[in-house]
Amino acid sequence: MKRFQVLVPTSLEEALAMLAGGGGEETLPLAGGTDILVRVKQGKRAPTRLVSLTGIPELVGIAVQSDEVRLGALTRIRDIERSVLLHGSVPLLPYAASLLGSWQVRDLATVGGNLANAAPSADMAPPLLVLEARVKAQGVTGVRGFPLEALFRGPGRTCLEPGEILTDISFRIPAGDWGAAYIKFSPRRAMDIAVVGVAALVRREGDIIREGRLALGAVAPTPIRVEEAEALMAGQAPRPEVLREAARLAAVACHPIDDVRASAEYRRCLVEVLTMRALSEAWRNSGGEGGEPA
Amino acid sequence: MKEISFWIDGESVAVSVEPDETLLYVLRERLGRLAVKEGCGQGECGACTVLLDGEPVPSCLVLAVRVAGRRVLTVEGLGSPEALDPVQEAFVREGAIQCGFCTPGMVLTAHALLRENPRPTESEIRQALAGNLCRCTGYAKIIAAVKAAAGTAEGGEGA
Repeated sequence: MKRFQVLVPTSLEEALAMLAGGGGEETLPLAGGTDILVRVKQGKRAPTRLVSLTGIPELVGIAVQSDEVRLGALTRIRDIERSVLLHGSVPLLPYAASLLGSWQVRDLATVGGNLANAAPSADMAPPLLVLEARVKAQGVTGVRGFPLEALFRGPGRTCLEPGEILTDISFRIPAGDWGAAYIKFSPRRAMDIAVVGVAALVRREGDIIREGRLALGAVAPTPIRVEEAEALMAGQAPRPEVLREAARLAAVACHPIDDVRASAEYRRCLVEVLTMRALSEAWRNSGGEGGEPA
Repeated sequence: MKEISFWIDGESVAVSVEPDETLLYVLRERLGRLAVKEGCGQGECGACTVLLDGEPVPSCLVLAVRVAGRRVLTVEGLGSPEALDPVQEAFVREGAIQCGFCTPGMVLTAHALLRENPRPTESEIRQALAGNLCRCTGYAKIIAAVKAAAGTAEGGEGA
């Protein structure tokens, strides 16, 4: 493993200056280290400098203010998993967090790191996508905010410029009766990445899906929303044929690959089945009756 | 090299480290804590688990410079051969140790679990230990040991 220096800023300003000031040297941000250090050990990345972000207070925190939730990018997955605030207001996130890695990994890993690492299978992505999260990124040149969707450019690639880091993630708690679900399919029950991840969110009005949101992980170059399925569901009762059609649209919309974990064909099948289950579960979590998967 | 000081098994130490040295490396090579094992070096197997400020972490993925001022607990800080910690005692009694390589990590994670959840269900034990792999035992006796240490074993034997 090639040697690297570790810089330990104590403020965001200092960190951004360090990230910008690399000169010819490769300078990378270091959050929990559970992705980047593995790649460095495997020889896949060889940065000369790592800027440790864990000592910067303004990057950490979970805040709920009226209907807005804000997560600092360096908030650890374990803290999301155990957050009483989130359990009470958005249990989808603690649940998704509990599925990531292992206890040991969750004690180091961060939500910003999970997103910025941009694995198509990132566990925090589909849930945050159905929550319509926005993120803020900052570099020495300034701050910019954009929808989470815009972050992902391809497997392991984001829209972040060199020297730019995610600083926070925020979303509004949906109005009215709503429910959500995240289903992660993996061969092992822990310490595995998703072979297919499906997140669903339903806003219910009486017996009708006022709005349905659907996001898929691990079945495209990036985590994706499925607008066609969402358009279909809006205003519909969650009848089996509606859920089945939404699931079929999701399976058509994704473009999985064959890899060591699963074939594309198997993943497509899983998307269809798990979409139905996730929508059904989200409907029930919104307080709705029926909505059984077909 | 940079000098850092931190607490290891209740004792304050100062040690010189390179910035890219992991806590695992420093614990084994500089501080002689050979009970902390390297299994995969990638945070997957749990053999290198130590408690950092009470929380289980894969020490192979923690850069040593990050533990300055913090508290690290290895299995050697849990009990002594004359006075085993209840989790260690239960592992011995239940036959939960074969080659012993996973054992330090298992014991520490189990210890952390019981500290925050003194009477875990079997499902909670399995979830908590999901980041600690064992190639010898098939896990059954490890789970029985954690239950015994918690005093929740069938047959009602106390901790």
